[in-house]
Parts: sequence; structure tokens; C-alpha cells
Amino acid sequence: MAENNPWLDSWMQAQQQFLNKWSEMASGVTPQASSPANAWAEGMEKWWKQAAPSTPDLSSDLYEKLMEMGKSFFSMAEGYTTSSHPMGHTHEHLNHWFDQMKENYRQLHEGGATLSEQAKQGAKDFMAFWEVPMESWHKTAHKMMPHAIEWPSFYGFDPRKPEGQLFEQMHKLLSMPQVGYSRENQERMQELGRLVLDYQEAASDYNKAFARVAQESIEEFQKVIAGIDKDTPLEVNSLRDLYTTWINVCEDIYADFAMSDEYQSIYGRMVNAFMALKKESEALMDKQLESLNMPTRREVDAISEKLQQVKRENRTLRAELAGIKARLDAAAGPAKAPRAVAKKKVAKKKVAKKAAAKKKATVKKKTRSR
Amino acid sequence: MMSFNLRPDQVAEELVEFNEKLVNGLQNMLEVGEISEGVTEREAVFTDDKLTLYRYKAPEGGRQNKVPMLIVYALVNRPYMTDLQENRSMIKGLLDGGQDVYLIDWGYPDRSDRYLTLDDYINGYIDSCVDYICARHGIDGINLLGICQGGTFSLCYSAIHPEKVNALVTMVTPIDFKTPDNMLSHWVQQVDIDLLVDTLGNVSGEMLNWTFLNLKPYHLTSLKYLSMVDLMQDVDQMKNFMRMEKWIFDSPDQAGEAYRQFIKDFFQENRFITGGLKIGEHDVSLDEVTMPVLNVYADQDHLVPPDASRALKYRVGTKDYTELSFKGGHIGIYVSGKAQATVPPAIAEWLDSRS
Repeated sequence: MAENNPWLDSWMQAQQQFLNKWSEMASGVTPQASSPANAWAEGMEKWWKQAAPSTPDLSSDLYEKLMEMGKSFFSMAEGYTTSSHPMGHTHEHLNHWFDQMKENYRQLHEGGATLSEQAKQGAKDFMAFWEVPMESWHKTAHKMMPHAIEWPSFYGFDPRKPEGQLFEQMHKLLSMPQVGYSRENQERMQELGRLVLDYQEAASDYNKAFARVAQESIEEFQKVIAGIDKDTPLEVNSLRDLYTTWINVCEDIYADFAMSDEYQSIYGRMVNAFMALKKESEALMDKQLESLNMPTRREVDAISEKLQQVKRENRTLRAELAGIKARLDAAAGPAKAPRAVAKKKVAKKKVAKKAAAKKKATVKKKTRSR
Repeated sequence: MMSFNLRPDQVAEELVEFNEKLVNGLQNMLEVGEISEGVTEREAVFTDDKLTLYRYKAPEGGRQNKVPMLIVYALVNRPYMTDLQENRSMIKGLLDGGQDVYLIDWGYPDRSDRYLTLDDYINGYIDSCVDYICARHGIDGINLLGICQGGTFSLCYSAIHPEKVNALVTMVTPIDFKTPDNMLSHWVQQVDIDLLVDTLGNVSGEMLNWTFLNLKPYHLTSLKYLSMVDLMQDVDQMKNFMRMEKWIFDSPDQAGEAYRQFIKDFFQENRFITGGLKIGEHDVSLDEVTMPVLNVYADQDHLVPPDASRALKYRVGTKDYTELSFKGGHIGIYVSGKAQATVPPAIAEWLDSRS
């Protein structure tokens, strides 16, 4: 369809203008984009490489977010432009393009073996924003781990599929009974291995659920375009209108998903599996530190806990002392103290007494709030 | 049927225009420079560990409420949201309304604060600040204004120490943590909080950012940054945007034990509603909140749904209960132009009539 499409001229001209504009900003040399579809992203990336060293950290984050947004926005523009029919009937052709994207995205999450690199990239760009929750989780979780572990890829990873039989074998291997002098240590390593697998399965379930809901979002958007299930007709006068409608549909579908029992379950399982893995990793790390005669996290925590208890006791003692001083001042009479201060201390006498009694009880029981 | 008035050549034109805006905007971004925090003049009057108590400078010559007000902000995010910029400052609005404003800045907890409990925060830090203000002004009680989680803390404090609170204002404060539209609460029900805190110690701000972003991930990322391209054409607007952006992601770590109790007792057990809440050795019941209460909520709040706040009405012990609803969201209630014009003056008027 695209080869005979007269709209492609304007699309190609736009691409050339992106390249020219970015090159003006960067080195002055017009970059050669690997494909017209990537002209915008490549131009921006080239410029950013030059500008980044002089920008604050916050701007770097912002750049990444702009890039994510831009890829989806421009991907939709490309789809809309290149799929449009010269004589109109735009929504039908757009619908066709969405079908293609949905299928590519589905295949991508099943490994994408039959997809071309361009098709894979197209599907990734189109849904770049959709994967923000998963990507952010992986970034956040990765930073929390004391050492690198293998994360499941977003695309095509399913430990329970036939090609993932390795996982099953690993489960068996990790369940083998240990014997001998280093038995205890081996068992701990096996436990760590089991927790890694457990987390990878949980993360994979989370990713797969997101991929499924992403496809539902595309279907829902197609319904909106076709006017199904919508009482109010929508008017699209700009690409921005179209894109905003698309994002609104995604947000609505996501909100339903996020409030489902399924989400509560996969979210809880992923977070719990990650925490169990991290806890075991840190216990092993503590063992290593101990063998090096270094302070461990466990020991530092124990010191912090004792310190906090001492601080609490000091606070209570200070309050008791203030109460005693207030009572002494009151007994000495108002003439010996400035008027305002005397008024305050008499007024606070009851309060200080009450607080001291309450805090005394706290010290006695030495319980922690949980 | 969706009506398409959009030719593909128009799309290409729109993209070229968008690209030009982005190019210009990114140049502007390089000129933004450092982003300041807080605009109103203030003085640090008291410190306790990492906590700093600030008193804001009142405008000269104005009348001032004789009962000072203490603002208790949430542990999540930073309190400069209340004083973001000259034309977006709830603090300024309260000062202009004749209030003597103090604010608790909790600082940034580190690993040494891991064992801070809700008892330490409420009966330790808040109580110290209240005592300091009472002593300084020679009074028995202050006006307390709690924001979001700080509102929950303020309710606990008021229930435990009613004699020290003259009047209480709660802003976008959750009371019923299990309303059907509470996404945060829904997510956390199957999370093993003991395992999480035992593992992490403190809970990182980055993890909280991830959680909050996921409440509306596509509006808060894709659509927001698309709209940003328009704002980027003007350096001042870009600065305002970046200031807000900085605040959104400026999330202190959460002290582990306080986080454990907050999530378990409030999000999982909903103890304001179901009962049995204890802070340290104190039983806490909303029946004990007997001072006048003004409950301010936002009717489009996606973090604290309006019903979560309005639940206070039937549970609080006072007979002097007032609600103020604001047409906007959780953040808009502090920063929108409409909020500036209505919310702080209403709070100030309500307090003046009760102080």
C-alpha cells in the first residue's frame, strides 16, 4: 500500500525537515537516518549526545521521557500517514494499521522469531509508553540488588514454555539434596537459585499480563474509531487529538486492569518474590562481609535499633525533667519568673505531667509499634 | 463514529511544527539552570534530629491570628509544594490571610533512621514542635494543619493530645483507606509488608515514585511530556514545569518501621475505621478528636479519593465539623490559580473564627 501512496511525499519531506532541523542544532552536518521512520529519533539522539554533558541530571531524565513519548507519537503519525488512502476512508486504513501493530506486538511478546527487525522496532516504538510501568520497575529493582542477576526480557520470555524447559531442569537441580562438609552453604546457594527462578516467573507473569492488556487497549481504540460502544461521537482534527484519544483509551483500560483481582495478585507476587530474593542475597552478602571481618548490614541495623531506643529514652527523660522544672518554678511562685513565661509554665504543668506519665509507661514496656 | 478531519499531509505539517517546537524548547531547557525550592522568607527556629521547624515571615503591618498554625506535611515528597513559586504558594495565601505559619520539614531519612516509628514521629517529633511553639507564644494549644499523610498523623496527634490542638485542618487526608476507588490500597493488600521492610530497611523514594507514577502511567508520562513541548517555548513556563517535575520526583526514603506500621495499620487494616489503632502506648480513636475540624478535600483526587477523606464526617468526635471541597486534584489543591484564590483564604477565615 505504502509504495503507491501519494501522502508519502509529504511524510518524506517532513522527515527531511526533521533531519535538517536537528542537524542545524548539532554539528551542522545533515545526518543520514537509517530509515525515514527513525529520522526524528536519530536526529534528536545525535543532538542530545552533544548537549547532554552540559545539562543537569534532571534534564537527562526529561530527555529520556521526551524520547519515549516522541517515539510513540511519531510512530502513530507514520502509521496514520503511510496507511491513509488517497481518497479518504481514513479510519478503515488506520484500523488496518492497528491490526498490524497489534499482531506485531503480540508476536514480539512471544519472541518475534518471524518478525523483521524493522517490524519489531516499529511495534516497540508504537507501544514504548505502554511499557513504562514494567521498565521503571526493572530499573528500580535492578538498582536495589547487591549484584547483577539475569532479568527476564520483556519480549518472548516465558519460563514455562517448552523452550523454557531449562527452568524445569534448574528447579530439579536446585532441589537435589546436599551432603558433606559444605552442605549448609550449598543449600543456601540452592535456595538463592530457587528464589531467582521464582522471581523470574513472577516478573514474567507481570510482563505477560501487561502485554495482553496492551492488545486489549488496541482493540478498544479500534472500537472507538469505529464508533462502537461510544455514545458521543469523537472529532479528530489533528494528530494530537488522535494521540490523546489513544492515550485516554490506554489509561482507561489500564485503570480497570490495575483495579482487578488479577493485578493485585501478580503485583503482590512480583514484589514479594523480589523481596525474598533480595533478602537472601543480602544474607549471603553479610556472610561474606563477616568472613572478611567487615561490619555487616545486620550488625549496623542492630546498632541503629539500639540507638533509636536510647533516643526515645532521652526524649522521655527530657520531658520528665521539663515537668519537674515546671513544678519547681510553679512552687517558687510567679514573682520569680517573667510573666509570660510563668503563665506558659503553669498552663503546661498538667500537660507535662500527663506526657511524662505516658512516656514513662512507654519506656517500661519498651515495645515497638508495628 | 469518529469523525476524521485530518489529511495525512496535515499530519506531516503538524509534526514538522511539533519538531520545531521541540528543537526550540530543548534549547530553552538548557537555559533553565538551577531550580529553586520555596519562595517565602522563613526562619529555622527549632531542630530535632533531621527535622527542621520553620516559621514564615508574615507580611508587615497585617493583622495576625494570635494562635499560630503548624503545618504537618507528609513523609512522602517534600513540603516545598506548599510554597512552590511566587504565584503558587499556599503558605503565602495563609500568611496573607493573617495566619502565623510554622511548617515541619522532615528532612531526608537515612539508614540510621530505619527504626523510627509512628510513635516517634507523632508523639516525639510533632509533639516537640507543638511544645516549642506553645512555649514560644505562651499558649496552651495551636492550630494544626495536616496534609495528606501528614493529615493522618495530625488526626492521631489530635486524638492523643486534644488539649494541645485548638483547631484542626485536614487537607486531602485519607481516613477510610479501603474505598473501592483507592488504587494504592488495592495494590498493597497482597504485599508482604513485613518481608518488604525486613528486606529493604528504609523504603526508597525511587520505589515510591514508581508506585505513584503507576497510578496514571500514561497521562503522567506520555501525555504530560507531549503537553510539555508547548510549555517549552517560554523559559519561565519551562522553569515552572521543571520545578513541579523536580518536586514530583523529590521523594525522601521512608523510615522502615514507620512505613511498616503505616501500610499495615492504615492501608491493610484500615484501623481508623475498624478500630484498634495504637500509636506507641496510646489507643487512638477519632472520637477523641473533639476540637473544631475543617476537612478540605479535592473532588478529582486520584491519590486520596474524596470518599476516603469524607469518611471523617461520621467518625470524628467534634460537633464543629466543616467540609470544604475543591474542584481539582491532589496537587492542584496547592498550586492551581483557582486554589490560590479560594482555599487558603477559606482556611484562614475558618481558623480566625475559632481562635
